[in-house]
Amino acid sequence: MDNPDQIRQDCELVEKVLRGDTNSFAQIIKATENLVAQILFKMIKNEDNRKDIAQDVYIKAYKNLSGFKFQSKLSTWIAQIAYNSCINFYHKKRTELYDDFLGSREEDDEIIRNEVADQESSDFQIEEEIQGKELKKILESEIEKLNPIYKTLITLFHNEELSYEEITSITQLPEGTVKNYLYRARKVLKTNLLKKYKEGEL
Amino acid sequence: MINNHLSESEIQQYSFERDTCNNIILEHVSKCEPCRIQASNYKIIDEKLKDVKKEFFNFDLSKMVLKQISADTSSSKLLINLFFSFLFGFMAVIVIGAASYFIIDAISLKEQLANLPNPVIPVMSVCVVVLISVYTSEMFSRHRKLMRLINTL
Repeated sequence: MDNPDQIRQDCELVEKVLRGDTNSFAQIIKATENLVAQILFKMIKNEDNRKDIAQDVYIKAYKNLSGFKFQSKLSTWIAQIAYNSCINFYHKKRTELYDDFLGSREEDDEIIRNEVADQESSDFQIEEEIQGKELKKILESEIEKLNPIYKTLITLFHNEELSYEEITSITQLPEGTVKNYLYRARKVLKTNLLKKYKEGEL
Repeated sequence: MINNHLSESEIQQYSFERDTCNNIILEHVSKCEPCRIQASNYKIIDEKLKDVKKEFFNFDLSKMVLKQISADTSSSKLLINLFFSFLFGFMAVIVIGAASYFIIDAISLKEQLANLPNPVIPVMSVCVVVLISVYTSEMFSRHRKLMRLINTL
């Protein structure tokens, strides 16, 4: 954790909550719920389940606050609880989260070499003019089609602008795995966008 | 300079972790138009991803959580109270029973009451019945209070 002000602020809030000040816990909720929302919206489709899990996340955080060791930001720790709660939800429902429909990284590399070679003459590029609302809308719908974990990683990295270290801390995935999943997710997004562009949808 | 084009992972590395790229990659991109286009596509995607609207809860999460916490605290307090009430009741019965036994023994009533049934047993039974009924009614009233609180959430 690199921000000493943030550590001090987290420390003060945690101490107040541990002394029984529930208003400070409300402050913690307000400060962290946006990050939790990004994770829950990407991982859980059903609104009622999302609501239950959101409450559950903060009840767990409240009960385990005395065990928080300040090894990460408080928001990262709460986001980790949120992510784990989502994974447990999928385990309970016995739903498979991981799939290998994208193939291996080596195969992708081979494909892209060919794609680049094919495009040398046509110069396919997502042009600046089509960067308006339409592209954003298409991108949002393409993100929704991704696997929940890929969606979450894309959101945490690009939208929330978290570092690999923070994402690793939240997801408890090795850094290499996080990078690999991000790589695959971005590639799918780019391929689908270019496909739509070629098809004249953009 | 690399003769072939950059791989997908190298292009992504150039687009998102440029400070980790070696000179070969940097040099290649500076000279290779198709690879530069690939990288710029990722740049555009990155910029647009930053603009994607953030989701937010359409309910007051802090209010809900604090209500839940106060209900949990009340129910755990209730359990602690019940535990101590029963412990206290049990100890009271033991003390009253033992005291009755020793008092009767000390004032030598035992001989006088030898022909009567032992009074310790009925005294203890009455105490137990009285304590149980008191704590049961208290437990019911607390339970009803808690249920009312939960229903209001």
